[in-house]
Amino acid sequence: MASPFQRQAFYRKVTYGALILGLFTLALAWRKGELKLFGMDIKGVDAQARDLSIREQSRGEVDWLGALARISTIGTRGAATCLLWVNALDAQKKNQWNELELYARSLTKLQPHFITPWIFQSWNLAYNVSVESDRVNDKYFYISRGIGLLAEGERQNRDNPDIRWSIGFFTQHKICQSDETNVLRSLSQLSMIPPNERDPGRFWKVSEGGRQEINLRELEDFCKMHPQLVRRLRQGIRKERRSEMLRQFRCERAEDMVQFLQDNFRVPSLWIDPRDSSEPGTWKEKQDAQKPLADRFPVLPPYHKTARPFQQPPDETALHDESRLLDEHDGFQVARAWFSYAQEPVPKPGNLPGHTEPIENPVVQRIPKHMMTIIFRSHPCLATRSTAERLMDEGWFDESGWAIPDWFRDTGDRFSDNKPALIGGGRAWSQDAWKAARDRWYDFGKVNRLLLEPSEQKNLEQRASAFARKKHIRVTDPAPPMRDEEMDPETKEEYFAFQFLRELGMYKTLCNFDVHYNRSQVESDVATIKARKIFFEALEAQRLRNNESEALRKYLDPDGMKAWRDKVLLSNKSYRTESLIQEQTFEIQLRYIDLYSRLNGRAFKAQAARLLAMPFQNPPGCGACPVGLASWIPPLIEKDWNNPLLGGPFDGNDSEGEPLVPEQARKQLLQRLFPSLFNTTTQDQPASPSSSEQQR
Amino acid sequence: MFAVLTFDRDPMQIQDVPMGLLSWIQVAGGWAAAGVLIWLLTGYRRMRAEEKAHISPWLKRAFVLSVVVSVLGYVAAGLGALATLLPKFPPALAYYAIGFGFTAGGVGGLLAAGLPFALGLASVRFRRIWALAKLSFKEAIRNRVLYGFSAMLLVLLFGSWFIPYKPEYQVRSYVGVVYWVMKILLLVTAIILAAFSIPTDIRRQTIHTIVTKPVERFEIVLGRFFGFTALMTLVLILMTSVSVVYVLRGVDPEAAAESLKAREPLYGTLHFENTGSAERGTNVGREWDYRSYITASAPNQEPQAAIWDFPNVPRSLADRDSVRSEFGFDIYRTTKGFENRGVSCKFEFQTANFNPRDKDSYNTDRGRWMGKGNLFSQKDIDEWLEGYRTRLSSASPPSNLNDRLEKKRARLTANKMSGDPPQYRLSETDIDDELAEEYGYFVLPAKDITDYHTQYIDVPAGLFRNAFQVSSTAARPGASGVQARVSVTQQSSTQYVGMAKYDLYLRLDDTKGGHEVAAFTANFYKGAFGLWLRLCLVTGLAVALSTYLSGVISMLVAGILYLGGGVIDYIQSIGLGTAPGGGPMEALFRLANRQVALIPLDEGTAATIATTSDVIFRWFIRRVLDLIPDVDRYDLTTYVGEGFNIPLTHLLLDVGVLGLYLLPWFIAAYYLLKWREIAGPT
Repeated sequence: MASPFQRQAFYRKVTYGALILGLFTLALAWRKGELKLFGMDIKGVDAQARDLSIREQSRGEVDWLGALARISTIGTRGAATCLLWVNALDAQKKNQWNELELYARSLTKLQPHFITPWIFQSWNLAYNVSVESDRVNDKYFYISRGIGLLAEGERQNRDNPDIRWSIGFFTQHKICQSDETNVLRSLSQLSMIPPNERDPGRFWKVSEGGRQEINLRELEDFCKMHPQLVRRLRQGIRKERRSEMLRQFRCERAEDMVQFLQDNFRVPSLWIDPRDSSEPGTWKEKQDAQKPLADRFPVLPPYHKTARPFQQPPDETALHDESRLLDEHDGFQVARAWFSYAQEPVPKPGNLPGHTEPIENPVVQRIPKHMMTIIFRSHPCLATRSTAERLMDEGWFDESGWAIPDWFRDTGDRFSDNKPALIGGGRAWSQDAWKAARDRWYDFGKVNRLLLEPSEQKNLEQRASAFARKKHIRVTDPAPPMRDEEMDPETKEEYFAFQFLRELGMYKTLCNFDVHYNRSQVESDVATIKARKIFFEALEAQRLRNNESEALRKYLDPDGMKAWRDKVLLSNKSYRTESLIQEQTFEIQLRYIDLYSRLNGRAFKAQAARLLAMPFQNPPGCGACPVGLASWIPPLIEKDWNNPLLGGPFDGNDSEGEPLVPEQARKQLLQRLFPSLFNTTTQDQPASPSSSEQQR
Repeated sequence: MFAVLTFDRDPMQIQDVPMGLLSWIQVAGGWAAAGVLIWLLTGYRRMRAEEKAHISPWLKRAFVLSVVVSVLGYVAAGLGALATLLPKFPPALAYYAIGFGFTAGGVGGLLAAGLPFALGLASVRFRRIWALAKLSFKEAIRNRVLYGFSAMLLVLLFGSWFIPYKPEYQVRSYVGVVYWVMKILLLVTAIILAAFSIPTDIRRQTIHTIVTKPVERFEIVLGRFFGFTALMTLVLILMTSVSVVYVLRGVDPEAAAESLKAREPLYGTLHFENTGSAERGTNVGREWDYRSYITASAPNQEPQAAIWDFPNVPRSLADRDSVRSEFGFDIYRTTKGFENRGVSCKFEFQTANFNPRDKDSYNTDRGRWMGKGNLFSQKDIDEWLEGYRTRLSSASPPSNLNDRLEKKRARLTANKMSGDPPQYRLSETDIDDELAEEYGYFVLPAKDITDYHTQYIDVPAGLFRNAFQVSSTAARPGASGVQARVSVTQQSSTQYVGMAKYDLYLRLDDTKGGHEVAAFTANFYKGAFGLWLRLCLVTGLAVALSTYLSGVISMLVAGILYLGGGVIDYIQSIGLGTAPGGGPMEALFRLANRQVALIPLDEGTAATIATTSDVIFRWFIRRVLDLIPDVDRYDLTTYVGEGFNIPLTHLLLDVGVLGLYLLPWFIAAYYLLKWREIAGPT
């Protein structure tokens, strides 16, 4: 046996070894263990970390480069972030956009779970930087970079409704609602088309004489595949003023469109960037591969069938990253996908209108920070409505399609199969879109308790009145504070009804529910669509083809102004009382009267001169007809509908004696269309104290 | 912005050297005089008698003379400063006295401090320095410092995954990132090596094995400096070579078109017309006030114009087919304008021989000859030549009139077409070239400008041939000394086009040469030379500091001085009192009184005390400023990234500036190590 010292050393080693082993085992159990004991959940460190979502992996994708960068700052992350922020500001000041993006990305790598820098810097790129570039494709590039940055933030910060909403909003706002939206929408569509399909080399062929000319066969195929893109590039979109319409980017010739495709061949897209376009006459069809998800633009939410625990189910009708994007898809639909995705972490709507159920699990549920929840919830519906409006602005109403002017002139405006060069037909574009909007608003109203059945509404009103009587208050008064124990079951129900109706009124107003819902209903009606199409065609004839007599004939079509008044306005009270519709109606009237006076000017002026002798005031913008006349001689107008001298077609009143277009709506429109003539804002403002003192 | 270099300060030119030297003498001499004074007060008294006896009499006399010159110089400067307070004393004389006094004082100080140093250098031997340098080199390798550079591999392997760029920015981004990584790795390593080397030797007493040998102490400093610099230079060369391969592989065509080249620009001087000031155009309110903007004037007003004058155009440009003028302007829109279309500008190129009265004649001729559809009959050629002869003869005909006419005839008839009667083909470029030579004028009436992309105009070389002709007609007034002029006017009154001096230039290199990759590669190495200069700077600084300070302190001081060089403009603004908000006392006063920085300070005793204290503070800051190196001067990344050739003179001037900066530090190191008690008699 060894000496006592050796024995002691041996025992000590064994003891320490056992202790180490024991402690490690304990630590491991403490870390990995998870068990139920006497009904109690005992969770180890890992399980708690998972539940509280404090691990990198549980918060979203892990960026190993960011993690490396954070470690390499060896405790100076704060200082490094400040330095990067200052550098980013300096780079922006000096218009060094690439450096700015580099700094912005580095910043977010150092602080990936701080949401504000993601949103701020992506907004900075998509808005401030993009607007500094003069070329639209440069603008588009920085919009895509800004949105791409935010999408990266979203991947690293799952379940954040604000980031998701911002991605959607930036997309729809910058691409579909900006000044240069005609080009930006077109670029957005190019992003969705495989490069081989839009390869400019495809549309050129080399003739025997060595001349380069348009390959009409390939052009035809492209037009058929992408009618909306082609139409937008050829004739632009509806604009308020003629000058704006003419300043739009348009491709008068097919060659211009091919040049546009050439200039933007390497647009940020879903597809792997090709090095260069093919030479004329050498194009071959091939399959393009998509980029990795993180590099794609437009960015779409990830596909998932089921909801995460405690979250709302995904919107199955919205786009996702596995959707096949077609010509009809636009920035609004992409935005809608993000708005819908943003709803998932928001708790369910509550029992009262506009209310939200309390958060059950703060790890995966969040309330949006920057706007009221009910407005946040309405954004998918708003985006759906915007798609329908876009289709109307771009002239897609019914199944009739659109005839391509000029590009196929050599073949008599016919395709290779001898059929007219007509694209985009066979689908009720506007009706489908407005019906989709209506369905979404319906669902929104039901889920958020804003849309009630008449019987339900009546029942609530009765009970609310009973409560008001009991408490000697009016139904419109605020709900008095009540405690449950003070109330019997009947009073409880009545109190609930009282509260319900009060919240209903408030939240309906807040999100303008009635207007949106009613409008989507009326706009999906065939009569409305027909009338709108006629107005669009009249404007097109006047602006693009300079054919005023055709435009006038369109307005006078029975399905035009007359149907608009009788079948649309007079049949839908809530629709006709909406200020937007009233302004649009008055705009139609103005355009019609303007056309009429241009084409029948001499006779019109002679008649007007006779009528002007009458002692009535001539209202602004309603033709030569005195305002009162239209109201007391409607039969005259009916008889001679096409002579605005007797009053504009929409100068009359409805069955309740209210004007179809009130004075306020007229004024608004005139101020908007002719700001220099009708802008009376300064006159309407009350005089400042200093100016009144001076006057005194 | 592409194809444009932006300079917050104009780069140093050869002509700036005399003033720079004068300034250096005053600054370095001031510090030297201060050092001499400190030594006289403290060091001299401690010298032993035998040490004093070792000093040669002539050195003593030279030293005394230098000190006297220095003292007299500073006395003169002081008297000059006092004279500025006297109302009747001529201020010019007073300022001359100050300048002269500081220079004389500086020269005296430098001589007093530098003479023993210079004599000491005479006993320095390169053989010993080389041995010490080799030792330093080996030590550094044995310390495994090279392992740190493997971090560069991370960038080379994964950089392209994470560096975001627009296709045309690819080269710029890659250049920026690889230089940044090289800078960090090299400078940090160099500063650590240099700062810890001598103090570690002293601490471990291994320095005794050197100083006890017949080695000059200053040789240790030089040995360390050269050893570390040599090691880092090798690493730099290796890293640069790998980096250039990294940057050049798979360059995007758009990026290659923008940046993969080494342009040799010829810059002119910029002035504005009809903007209210010759120096500035309209201010559109941008935060960065680097560019000035022009717009179209009202119909009855003279057009706003930005004008670049080129006083020295090389004669070689006249021998080319065309000369490329590149530019990059900023656009500021106040209305949307037409979608997808730039802002239209008019570009006029003219020489000193051009008479503005000939504009109509030029336009008539151009319209006429362009209308010929590229085919000219003999009659057309004769008419053209006759018109040219008439114009040349209108004032005093040049002596070589016939020669010029014959040359022109030869050019016009060079491309003869078959057929009868014969016809001659002249392309539009040929016509523009001939007219440019004839009139000294070339105009592009409407060019769409867009920002963030390189744009260019190929100017007919005829214009430059005209520039070198002796004028026979009355040239425009004020054109003397200007060989070529470019005038840019804008055509839309709702849009603004912004430009700065360096935003337009003529390309001196041949744009059709096809050696762009080779030129870029060479330029990349020149850019690395800038990094090498910074490497020398930190190594020299850290070695010099480590002769007296401990390793950590040397590293920190060298690091702080280097980082201070990165924000030297800001420190300068504090030292000169131009920073918004004033100095620290004024800032404190404003904080206490809740006054914002941009409004004038309220008057009062406290405010006066604060501002006066700041005057003293600023004096100290200006002295500190003398110690801070201007490191941005050596940062040549922008040249490489933007695709501009780094001029050789730029590199030589940088070497000179670095040498002058390091020289006082080495003189200080010489004395500090010499007087340090290492293995000396106790």
